[in-house]
Amino acid sequence: MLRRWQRPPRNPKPEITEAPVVVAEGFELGGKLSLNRPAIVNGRLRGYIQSTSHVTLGPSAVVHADISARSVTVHGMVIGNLTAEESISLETGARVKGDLVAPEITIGAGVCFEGDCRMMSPASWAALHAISESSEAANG
Amino acid sequence: MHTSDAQVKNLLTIRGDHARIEGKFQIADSIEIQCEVGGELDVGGKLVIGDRGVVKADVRTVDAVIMGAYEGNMVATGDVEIASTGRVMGNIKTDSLVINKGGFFNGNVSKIKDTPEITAPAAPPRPVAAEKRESAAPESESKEKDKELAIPKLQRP
Repeated sequence: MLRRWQRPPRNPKPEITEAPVVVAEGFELGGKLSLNRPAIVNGRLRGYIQSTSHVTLGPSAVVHADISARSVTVHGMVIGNLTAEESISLETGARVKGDLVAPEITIGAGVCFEGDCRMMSPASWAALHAISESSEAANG
Repeated sequence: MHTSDAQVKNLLTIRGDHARIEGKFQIADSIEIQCEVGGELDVGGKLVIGDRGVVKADVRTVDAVIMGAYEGNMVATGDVEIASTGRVMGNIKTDSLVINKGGFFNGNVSKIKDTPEITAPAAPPRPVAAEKRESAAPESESKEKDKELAIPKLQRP
């Protein structure tokens, strides 16, 4: 029992647990968030979110950030590009301005969305982007 | 008389699995397409692209439901729905877009109406910041805003 209250181990690799990281309503965060567990954001966030797990933006979330995760669910407001390995879901009430890249994207009724929508894996989108850029460079 | 969708009253349907028609079409009311159509479509009601429909056209419409394939630029003043069997490549200008699970869409979505709540960052200040702002001189307001935007900075006395 006491172990829980000890200082975190020196090993910087955090333990993967399913307990979500929560940015509660009323909180404001800035900077880069690197996560390996589910995250729920209900507050305000500015910067960059990188996660190997699921990211949920609650209805009260106001996020100015690019988000890269395994999957993303949005109920709130985002200005930034969303990239997901698996899926992006914009639920009712979501307001999103930015580009979406994921193999599976769903947009519910009553969603305000403006931007590009690319239904492919981020890896193939990056490859495609590289090809188009190199061909542009060759032409120019 | 009662179709599955009660809103679609007069639904002109173009059928034919291998039929291909091309040209400029003006449809006063709604239309359902179950074949291949190219060119330009101006629909006064609802455009339904059936699961066997393939449309490669620039479209102006009110509502659209896409269960088949669509390629081109679309302007819809009403609602656009991409069903689970729908495949869309192109740009859509609409204020209301729904993509169902399994539906495929590659392209850009833009708004017809300006939505200031998205373009301008809706950032009501924190209560604490608001109190500070009230006590501060009005000219420092922009500075205060910069501080808010910036990632935490050290404040010097």
